[in-house]
Amino acid sequence: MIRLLLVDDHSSFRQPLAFMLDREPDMRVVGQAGAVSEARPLLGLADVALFDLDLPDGTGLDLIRELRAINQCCAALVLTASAARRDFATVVEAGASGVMHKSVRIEEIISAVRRLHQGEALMSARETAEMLQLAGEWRAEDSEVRAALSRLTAREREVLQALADGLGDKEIAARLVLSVDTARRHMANILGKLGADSRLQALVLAVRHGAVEIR
Amino acid sequence: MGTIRIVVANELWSYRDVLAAALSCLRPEAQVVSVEPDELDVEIARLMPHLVLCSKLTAAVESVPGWVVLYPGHETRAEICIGGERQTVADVQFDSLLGVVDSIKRHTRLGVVPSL
Repeated sequence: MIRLLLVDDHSSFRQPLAFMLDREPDMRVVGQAGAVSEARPLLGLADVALFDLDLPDGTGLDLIRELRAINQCCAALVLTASAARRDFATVVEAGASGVMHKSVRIEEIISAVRRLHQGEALMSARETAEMLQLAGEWRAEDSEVRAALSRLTAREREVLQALADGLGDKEIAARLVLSVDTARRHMANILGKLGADSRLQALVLAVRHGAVEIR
Repeated sequence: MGTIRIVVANELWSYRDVLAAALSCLRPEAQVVSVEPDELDVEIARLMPHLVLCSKLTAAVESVPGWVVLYPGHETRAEICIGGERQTVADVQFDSLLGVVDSIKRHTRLGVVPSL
């Protein structure tokens, strides 16, 4: 019997999925949770755990890492609405045995659970290695951008936020009580520090790393 | 007693697959059809369902006696409408969806508009 734990904050997906999995003769859902805090006490109970990534009080990645520490025998399968390779790679790096987009059919989920329980891999060794390499590259890129953002002065951050608010040079200068030339100089410094070719690229990097808000 | 027709057209295939399968098992008297979201409006005109479960509200969906817009934009909420009465639910439980099916069934049988 395969003991299953389902963690997803979309109850109206998780509950009927649990119902359908429970109907399989070799499967039993031993726990369900809609949040990281609810899932924690259940991590030791399952042979295969299905995790969503976006949870109200954390991410499925947190749970996968905790699972690896307390229940080595349990395979983690991530079901996510994200199609980003970056997310897939991060999941593999965190120690998940498999990751599937939520566009799959229920038969594919059932088949994946059985394969994982039998110790099979859902991805080839090459795919796994690629994912791990990508995750490493993205982590390195991430820390470079964070370091670059930390080199911005307070004034440059204000200019960047004004840019995120959709302001042009004249408006930025007016908001921050600067000359237009000074505002442009700040912008050029920002692009130089971030290694960005355009204002849009600088903005994307800043938004992605939480340096500015889109309001 | 007549059959009620339910169309499930949620964006994510696993959602509509799981919902359609569980509804068929738990409400075998209902005719449950899973369709692609892009084809929903056409399927509404063809199947004339009593209830639609989907991810996005359209004029065609609003013309159906009952509808549930589940997790629009992946938010954890649902908009439920039965016979013109609308309600927003923060984290709708599957039991509540079964309750919507039962309300629609009563509505269809009795020809009255049930309240939520």
